[in-house]
Amino acid sequence: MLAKAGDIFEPYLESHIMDKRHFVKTAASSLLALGIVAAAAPGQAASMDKCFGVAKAGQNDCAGISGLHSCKGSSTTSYDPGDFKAVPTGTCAKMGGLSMQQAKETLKDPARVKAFEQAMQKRIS
Amino acid sequence: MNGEPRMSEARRQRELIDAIFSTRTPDAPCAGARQSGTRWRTGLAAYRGNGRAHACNALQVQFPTILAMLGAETFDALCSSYWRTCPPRRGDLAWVGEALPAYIETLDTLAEWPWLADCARLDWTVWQMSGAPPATFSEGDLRRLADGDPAALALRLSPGVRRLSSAWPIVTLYDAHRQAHPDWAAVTRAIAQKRAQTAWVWRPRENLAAAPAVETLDAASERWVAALDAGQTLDLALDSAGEAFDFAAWLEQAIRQGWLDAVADRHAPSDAMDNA
Amino acid sequence: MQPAHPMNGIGLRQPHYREFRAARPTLGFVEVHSENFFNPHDAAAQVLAAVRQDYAISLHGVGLALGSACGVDDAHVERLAALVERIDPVRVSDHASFARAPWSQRGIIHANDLLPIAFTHDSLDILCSNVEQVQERLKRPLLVENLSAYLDFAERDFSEPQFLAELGRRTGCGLLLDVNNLMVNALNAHEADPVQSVCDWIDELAHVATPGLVGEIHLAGFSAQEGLIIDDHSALVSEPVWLACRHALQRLGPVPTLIEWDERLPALSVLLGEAAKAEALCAAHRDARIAVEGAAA
Repeated sequence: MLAKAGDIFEPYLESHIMDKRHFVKTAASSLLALGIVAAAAPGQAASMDKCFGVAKAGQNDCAGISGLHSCKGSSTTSYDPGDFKAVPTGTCAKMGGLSMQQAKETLKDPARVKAFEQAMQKRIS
Repeated sequence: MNGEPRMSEARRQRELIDAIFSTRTPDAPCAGARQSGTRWRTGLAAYRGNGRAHACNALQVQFPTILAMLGAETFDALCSSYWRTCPPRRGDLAWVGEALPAYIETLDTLAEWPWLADCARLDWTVWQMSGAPPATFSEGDLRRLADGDPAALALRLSPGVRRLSSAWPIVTLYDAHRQAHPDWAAVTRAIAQKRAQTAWVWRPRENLAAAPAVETLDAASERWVAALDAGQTLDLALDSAGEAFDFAAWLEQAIRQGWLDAVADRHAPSDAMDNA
Repeated sequence: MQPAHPMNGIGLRQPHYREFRAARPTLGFVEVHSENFFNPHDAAAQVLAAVRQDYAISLHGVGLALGSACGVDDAHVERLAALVERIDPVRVSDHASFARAPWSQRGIIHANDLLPIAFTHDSLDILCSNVEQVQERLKRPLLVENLSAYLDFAERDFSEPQFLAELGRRTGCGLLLDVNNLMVNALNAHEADPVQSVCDWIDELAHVATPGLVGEIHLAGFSAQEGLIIDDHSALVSEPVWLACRHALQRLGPVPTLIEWDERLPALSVLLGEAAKAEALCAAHRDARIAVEGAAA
């Protein structure tokens, strides 16, 4: 007679559950003893003054801005989504940039890796 | 008044909104505007440009990585196109970027950089976490954990943490755009290998002024957090995390960083459905 | 030298937060854009809470879109109500404009702008109903601001002062009188004498409105762009606007006045200089009124 799987695994499963109960209890109890919850209480008052430095610029305002200036690349041509062409000039730039194909090709050639790193360095700094 | 039927205010407003968000400038004034000719076109251009410029400014703050990747000019063109195609839903520009990641995904013109949409999702997650409510975990929660049965308890994550999985090395890319001297060769390698990463984003608990932290989750932690996200009981979550997962270390860090809101009772399986 | 009890204020913007915190200038109030403080948990909320400890706050909204025919956004009103609860502002205001409308099968969108409404019975009914709804929820009266409008409409049943006076009569709301907006509109209409035209507008308002309708005055600078004067809050208050402001104070009595500056922000001291100028104008007007009343007695 073959034993049913349950007969074999039941003792193991029970001890495993006891294990889990035990180590959850141990972990929680030792953190309780450390008083870690109180220690992690937010230091909001201390950081309030710092917020004056990091609060992001207001998103909403009631000024009319540069509606008629074309200084932000928002001339009538880029207004039409049909005219939207991606010519990235940032870190995705095609020249030595990070398109999938270029990433693969660049990696084949150590000299290109070096040239690429220098180009990126210049662009970022 | 002449004998012409009057235009309702509702119709006037619909026509002006159509004129502002349409791709073409209607030559003939609509919405019953008094202005015509050049003056009509200039007035309409003022409204078209103003809304878009405000949105672009806000999007620059919300998507700094995408801005750096595309450069100012292309980013501005992307924003203009997004503004026109997916106009905002809310009168608060803090939410204007909500649909930008999905919009990027639809653009053939950006298909050469298939990780952009997920990088935008990470930027958006960081933006959201920077204003997330603080964790509410208490000593009572910890005591419940010490005394209770893992099969009847669940850990509830705080609204200040978020897990974001991608088929691309989004954390490596995110970090590279914030370091003084990034290792671009390593970034290139990660992209060429199409290295999948799961980002773990959280708002530090002790300092309201600190920027949200962004780290990668290892496989065991990811399984663990996914189980908590799904509202699973502690014992099932530990099972899915596996032997390699160090629960004690994770719990200590979770409490210190404010990743947890509460220890919830899960007596019946149906309770797990209430975790929304 | 700032007076001991100034009436006037400045708009507080993010680039000035630190300088403002360090300088703690003497001001009658500080105005902020409500929507930028809707989230009670972000860094900006901490800034406003700290500023509130030392100053009266005027909450100036840009997103209620009170003139929208499809109504106001209930969720937006709820967020504003929660902010009002937290800050207990001295005034709450927004604009006589629309922004929400159904668009191209996408449901209701929000143009994030202050779009003009017609001065008709129809639009007055819409505006009144929306203002009443918000006031009921906030349990306080609003101030509603007149617009700079780059387009306007052929159909009209009221002049703008009549329209706003009627709005106040029907809803109990006040008027936030933006003198710069009046000037921008006069200049874009190519009025032969823009200052006179703005003063006439104010005279008409004083004639038709319930006394005390105007709860605040806004002053700002504008800039000339391609073919239009744009109300971009980017410059010193222009001399014509100061002249019109003096007239408004004479006709309407002392009203708290605000300097708004949003684009190309100068040093905080420049804004404070403008506020001091407004303060001197109010004081001169007050002194003149006391002298007149003294002579009459």
